[in-house]
Amino acid sequence: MWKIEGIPASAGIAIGQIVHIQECVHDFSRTVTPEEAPREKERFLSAQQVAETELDELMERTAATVGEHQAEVFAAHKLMVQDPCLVEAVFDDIETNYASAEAAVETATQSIASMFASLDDEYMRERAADIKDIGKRLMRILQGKVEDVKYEGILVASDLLPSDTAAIDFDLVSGFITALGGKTSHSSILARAAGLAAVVGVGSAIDKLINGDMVIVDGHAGLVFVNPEEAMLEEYRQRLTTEKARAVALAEVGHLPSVTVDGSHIEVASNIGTPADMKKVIAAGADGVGLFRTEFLFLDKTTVPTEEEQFQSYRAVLMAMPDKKIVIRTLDAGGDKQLPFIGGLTEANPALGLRAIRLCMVYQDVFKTQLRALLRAGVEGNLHIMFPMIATLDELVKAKALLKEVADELAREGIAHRSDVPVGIMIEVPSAAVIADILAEEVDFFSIGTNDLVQYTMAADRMNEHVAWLSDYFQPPVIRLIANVARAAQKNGKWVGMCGEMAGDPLATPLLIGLGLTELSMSTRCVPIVKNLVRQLTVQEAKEWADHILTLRTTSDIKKNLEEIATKFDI
Amino acid sequence: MELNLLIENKLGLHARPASLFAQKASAYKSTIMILKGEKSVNGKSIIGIMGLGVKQGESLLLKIEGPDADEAAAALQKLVANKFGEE
Repeated sequence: MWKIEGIPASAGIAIGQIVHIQECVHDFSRTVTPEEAPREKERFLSAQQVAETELDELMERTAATVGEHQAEVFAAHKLMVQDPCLVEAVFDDIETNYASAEAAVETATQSIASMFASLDDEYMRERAADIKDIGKRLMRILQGKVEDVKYEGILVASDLLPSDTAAIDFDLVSGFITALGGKTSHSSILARAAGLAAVVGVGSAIDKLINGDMVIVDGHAGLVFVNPEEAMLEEYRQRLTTEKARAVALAEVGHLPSVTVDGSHIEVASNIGTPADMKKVIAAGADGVGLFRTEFLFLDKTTVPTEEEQFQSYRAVLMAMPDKKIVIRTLDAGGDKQLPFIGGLTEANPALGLRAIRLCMVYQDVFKTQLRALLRAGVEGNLHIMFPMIATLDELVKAKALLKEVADELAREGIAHRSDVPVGIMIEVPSAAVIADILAEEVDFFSIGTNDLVQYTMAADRMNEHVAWLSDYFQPPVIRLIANVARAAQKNGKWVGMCGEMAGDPLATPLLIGLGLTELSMSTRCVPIVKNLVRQLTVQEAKEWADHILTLRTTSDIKKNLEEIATKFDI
Repeated sequence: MELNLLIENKLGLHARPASLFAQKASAYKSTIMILKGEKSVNGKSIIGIMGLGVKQGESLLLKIEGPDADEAAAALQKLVANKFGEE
């Protein structure tokens, strides 16, 4: 047994085998000897086979969890991996230039990608990314690495970025060890939010850990025991049992009132995707649902879901929590979420295209069917309707007029419904954040969607790793827009909440409450953690912090300030 | 044998139609080449087909050689005539 000392970043104990998170390294020999060329061809062929198996699994998993339509991307990737053009180019390079399999794959995929990039069709140009993705996959397999989404046990990495933590399956991972980082670095806070034991800042010690080593991560003391003796394992197993009991206690905090020290009620709600999610929402003690994404009803279908089908789903959610506020967002499709029954719409820039409320205004029948189902379900509980992607007052007025039209229809037909459902909008387009004072007069509430708001404000595609540093909700312009929206809402006596990723980040909680948000809707997993923090805060103090943060000039200053604030609390 | 095909579906030979074409072509033993302007590509290659950037209203020349050339020609002609099942 040996021991590593580090910084205790996230309290908790984890016992298990370690696995290194691999970073893509590109140190391979570019050429081989003529005698070795046949072996390189075989290496390529077996990598191709592994890639096909991986893509099959990915296809199946995506079809089951996201939808058949989304899974088609991987079917296309599989065809590309098998493509005769690619194989020919790779073999040619190996035969004539004695390239290594890695070099040949790199050269071939790069030249195909640049061929796509030169086409005069935006859609086709984007296919260059698919080819690059295939190149990366083959390269990783050639270098003998497993796919990152299958990490299980205790993760070891030089640093864990928020994007990494987003990709981790928390049911399979119990802790992590990093070479860099400190107690209040963003990744440590996310680890605490995820309930993972973590020891950070251990330096080069991670290099001595071998995949499969049995370790105990003691996140309280900041210690890692590698290949420990049975007696020690037993001691820690017992402590782990006690820990779990304590986790149950935190889970109970989830069921306590979500009130600040000075008595303000902050709703800590859940984001859900299907009625089946309600079980976990209730178990976590959330104060309702701040965002029900209705897309699941539409995305897998080749026909428009019927009013009855939708009514049953909305009703199921409302009836699961009849006394709590349930915010249901109308269809947010288009863009990257294409609807099969509407058919392929070719747009050069889907994120800025005909999506969400814009699409609903074109397909008004689809929209009105959804509104009918919503108003009918509304009699079962405390329904709130929310329109996505509103950018102008006109859009909001039109959407509200359609809602009124539908309510009148239902009244004429004598069908039970609720006509006075509170109506709000997502604030995710910067234009809406700027004219929040105008929009506030026409709504009952605002809910800020930070994921798109950041993407549009910073003009940075959130899936594009090359501009990832811009995709940060702690960017000063984003904070200022949030402040502007909150001010406008308060002036008009309307409530403002948030349903983006930021709402579930405990580092952001004091700031958001200080800015005047009274509802935070997040992934259910985060509910007890955020609620636990809300119960330690004072609104007055949070306001002072928020005022100060609004004067800070850079993202890193803002984060540093929030990290300092975080140290005052038990997170 | 040679064959002229007019691409009439809205999207042209985008990812899905291109993959359907390549899959269909791969089911035959014959070699299948697609010619458009100066370019010629392997008809069994989704990458090759997409690389042609064929749009609605453009036509292609198919060169098919092999034991099952007739069947392949008929099947591909049908796929294109049906607009890849798009509409």
